Amino acid sequence: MHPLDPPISPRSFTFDQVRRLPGSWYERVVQRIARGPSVMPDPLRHATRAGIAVVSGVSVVTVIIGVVTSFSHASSVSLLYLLVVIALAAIYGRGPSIVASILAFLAYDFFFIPPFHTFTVADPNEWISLSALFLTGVVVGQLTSELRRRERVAIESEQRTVLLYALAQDIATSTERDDLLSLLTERAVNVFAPFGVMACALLLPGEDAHLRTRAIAHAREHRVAGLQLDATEHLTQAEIAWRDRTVTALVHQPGLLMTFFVPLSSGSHVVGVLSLSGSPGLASLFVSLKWYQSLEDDAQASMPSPYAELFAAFCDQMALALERAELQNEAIQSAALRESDRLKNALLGSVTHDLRTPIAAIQASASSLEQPDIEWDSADRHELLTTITTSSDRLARLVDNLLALSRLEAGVALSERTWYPINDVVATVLDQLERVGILSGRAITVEIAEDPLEAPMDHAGIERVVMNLVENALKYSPPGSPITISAKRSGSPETLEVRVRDQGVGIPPQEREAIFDRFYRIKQPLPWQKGQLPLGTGLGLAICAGIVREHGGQIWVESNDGPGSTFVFILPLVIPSTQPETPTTTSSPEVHA
Amino acid sequence: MTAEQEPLIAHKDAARVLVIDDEPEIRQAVRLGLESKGFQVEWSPTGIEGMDRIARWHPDVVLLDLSLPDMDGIEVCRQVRTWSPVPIIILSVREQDHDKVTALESGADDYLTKPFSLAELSARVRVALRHAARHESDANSTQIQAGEILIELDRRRVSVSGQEVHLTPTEYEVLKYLASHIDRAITHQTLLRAVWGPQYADEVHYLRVCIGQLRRKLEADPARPRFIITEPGIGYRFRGE
Repeated sequence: MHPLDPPISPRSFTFDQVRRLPGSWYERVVQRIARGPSVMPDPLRHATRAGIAVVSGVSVVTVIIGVVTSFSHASSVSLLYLLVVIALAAIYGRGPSIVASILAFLAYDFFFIPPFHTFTVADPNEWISLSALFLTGVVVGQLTSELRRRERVAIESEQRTVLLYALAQDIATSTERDDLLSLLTERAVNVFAPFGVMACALLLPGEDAHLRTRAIAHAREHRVAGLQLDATEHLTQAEIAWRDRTVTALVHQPGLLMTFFVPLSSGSHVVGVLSLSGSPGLASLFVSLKWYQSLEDDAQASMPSPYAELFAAFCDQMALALERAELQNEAIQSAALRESDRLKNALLGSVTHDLRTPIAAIQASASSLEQPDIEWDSADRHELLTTITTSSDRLARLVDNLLALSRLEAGVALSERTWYPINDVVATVLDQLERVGILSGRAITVEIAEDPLEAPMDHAGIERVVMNLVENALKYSPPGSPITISAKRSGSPETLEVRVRDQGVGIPPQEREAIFDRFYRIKQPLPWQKGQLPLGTGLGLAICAGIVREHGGQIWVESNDGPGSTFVFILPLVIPSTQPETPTTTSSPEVHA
Repeated sequence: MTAEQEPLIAHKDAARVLVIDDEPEIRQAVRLGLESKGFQVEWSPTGIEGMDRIARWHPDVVLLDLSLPDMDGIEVCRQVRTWSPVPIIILSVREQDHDKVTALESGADDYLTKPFSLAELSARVRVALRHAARHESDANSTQIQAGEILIELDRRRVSVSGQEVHLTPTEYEVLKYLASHIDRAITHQTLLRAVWGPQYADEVHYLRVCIGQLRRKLEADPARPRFIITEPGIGYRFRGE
């Protein structure tokens, strides 16, 4: 299609016709439009055909009248000409019907009014019937062509409504924003291609409040060479359109190819700019836009197209859809912000309480010991001092957990990973716990088949993970019940699998995912603690999960055959670094004395 | 504070401990704790002053914080080592593996992680003093005992509760090195260089396998060793007390 070709008018279609086709509303409309453009006929051919119809129609009726009058004297037989006039008015319009009326008048005069075969009329009464025939023909012709015109207008109006309905349906059902953008540009091109639209682009403001091209669509048949829809001049013109709220234009080839920039506004707020590239005749689409101002001479906007209102409505729909997408986005973000605030408040509340409690205990005990007027006996003094040391240990562990959490938040959770044996991790953790006195009276079994069983890890991080898991196991199982820590290689691709098993209360299946969330705490009191809720901030498992995942591993909890649960985490063994080789013991290198 | 300001001391012959640290809270607690154990304690808030005090006051042990206001603790270590064999114990926070290893490789003898208890502190100080005394007296003891483990250096024989245990030459050398520096932290690199040779300083895996074998042969519960202790990220320590 060359830019100079006249616009193709879409085939007529009505709601009923479209509704019976398969597919979504929009697809049906496009099908109907694409079913074959009806090309505006060449005026010369049209006139020729009309002329032939007029002449043949009048001739046929004249012959018929001639036949009839040969055996009957009914004068109202001339009314048969009206049939021709009406038919011509319905098919060819007003002009041919008037010509037919004149021809009918002349034919009747010539053939059937004495003196025959002349145009003169002898009897003045015959003038009246002739005039009556002529007048009736003209009036009926007018009425018919007017009816035809109104029918056409009504059908066109219905078509526009169907189109708008299909577009609105389409837009209303699209949810993803990027989908929406390409959807809108494609629709614009498809619907308005018959008016000369060859390509269209949608420009929306970005973070820096400048317009950026977000979607581009081309008409099906071809791409226009040399048309770069995201070039700088386009952006500049688009920004002018956006800022001044007028339609602006760029001329690429005078008289052939222009790009128009139409601001899309919903209410008082301009949400973006639609750019349409095509023939200058496109300007006729814009006359209905409320901010339309006459464009430069290159744009011939003299004749408003019947689809101008449709285009205006389409622009409104686009603006509404874009605004809705923006608002949805904002709603999602503010929901996320609210959730993050909630977590922060929970953290603050939890931390404040858990920090203050041991501090209060330390202050109370220390200030009691300081009292100059009290002589504490050694048992009391010992108890107060023990409170101070255990509270400080608790504080120290809480601070460690908080530091781990803040490192996870900051994205610097892990130091450099090196090959490190899990045996040493477990031994270090148990050593530390023993030193603080938590392990007294508890039977801990360690089952690690290989020594060393190494995996790439940040050893301080995995120490924290094992520490938290063991502390949990100790806390949530009755005193005296055994705890088992085991590690082995497993799976394919190979991983290091570590298990911490207790025989405590266990975790109900519906909570097995939630326990790794922050601040999640078991709400049931422990049966052996007589109604007290267990202590803890609910951070331990969340930190374990964060660290394990940073290693590329996974963590989960399984229920045991008996009471209690087993926490399992795996760490990948296949990381592209040097795999340590196992040295053979016989050929050990030269030993220094 | 000028040098030569001798504090009041109960015992003139008590061992001298110099604390080089700029945090007043640590200083206070450490001073009181060590003095209660019978040590003489002095302190210096900066590296420069600390080195000066070492030269003039001749402490028996130095406690050196890694983060000083005027210079890197590791640098202090290096410099002091060039002219004095005084035992240096570094004080650092938990996450500084790399710094601790560097300090130990630069001449420090041991380390303590904050927060530490007085018991740990005085234990480390005692160990440092003991090793220094042994160096000076140059007495090569022929036997090292730790719990049920007995190492007879003259006969190259190791036994647990009287039962002889067979060790490979490498295992014996590692055990001997650790036991000769009993209760002190030894870095992986130091052990590897000493037993395998300088070019093996980075082959940590060899060392781990060897330690694993030692634990299996000598420890009652190899998974929870009592004597051959891992110092996470740093090396190993043979615990005697």
